[in-house]
Amino acid sequence: VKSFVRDNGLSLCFGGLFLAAAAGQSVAGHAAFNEEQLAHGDEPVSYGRYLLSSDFGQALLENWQSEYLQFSLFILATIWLIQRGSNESKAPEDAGLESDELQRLGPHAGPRSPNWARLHGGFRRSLYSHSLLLVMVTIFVLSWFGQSVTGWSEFNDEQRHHDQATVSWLAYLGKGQFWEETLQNWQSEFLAIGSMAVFTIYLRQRGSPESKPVGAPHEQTGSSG
Amino acid sequence: MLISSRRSSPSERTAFASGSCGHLPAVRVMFAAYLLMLAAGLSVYIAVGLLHR
Repeated sequence: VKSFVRDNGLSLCFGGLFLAAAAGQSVAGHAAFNEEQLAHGDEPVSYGRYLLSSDFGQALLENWQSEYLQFSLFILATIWLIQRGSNESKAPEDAGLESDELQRLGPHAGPRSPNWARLHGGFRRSLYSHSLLLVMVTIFVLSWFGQSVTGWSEFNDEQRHHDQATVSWLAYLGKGQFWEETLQNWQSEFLAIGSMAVFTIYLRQRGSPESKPVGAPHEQTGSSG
Repeated sequence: MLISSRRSSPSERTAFASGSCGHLPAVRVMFAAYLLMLAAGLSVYIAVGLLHR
């Protein structure tokens, strides 16, 4: 158990923080939802019912989609785009998909390389070569779709409440509400990524792989501490 | 680095590979746990949105 915790500390810590924050969000969201219900003269709902509501689902997924978009774009952009001096960037000469030798593919694979990396070309090797980005983009697309359908269901609930006509899913995708909820999350992610890329040129955190070594020169690009 | 992998020397790679192979089953558990959490969240709330419309 001790070695399991030590070997998986990072994912255990963030998995635990996620569950705690999501639980806190659900409790606070439930209280806020019921205040709204009472203010409108409606019946309050149980905690279990709130957990399975579009209100909670939308609040959860609109944040998920922006996080996965952020990481997907960062994985993609850092293949080709360089920020000289940044810990988040490759060295300028490494821009692009890199050679099979650098990526340890096919004849350059080692004895412990993943099986699909050892293949001499083909679909499975290509698929595995892009598997991280493919999975991140899939999660982004599914959570954005989830945000859209839960938001749509919420929107139509409001419409019915005000005796107004409900709209189709496609019509909801054209509403300002959907795009405001989407873009308010995207802007913060893009700012955080951009500032992180620039801050690591001049700022340091001793011991963190997210920073260059404290004594590394400002012009040194892409080597973790 | 936030995402892009750290380049290590060949000796570092060997040391990491041999040191980590004994713990791979535990690492697989974490990988599966995260995938399951995501799959559960996505499928539940996509279903909620589609069914409650």
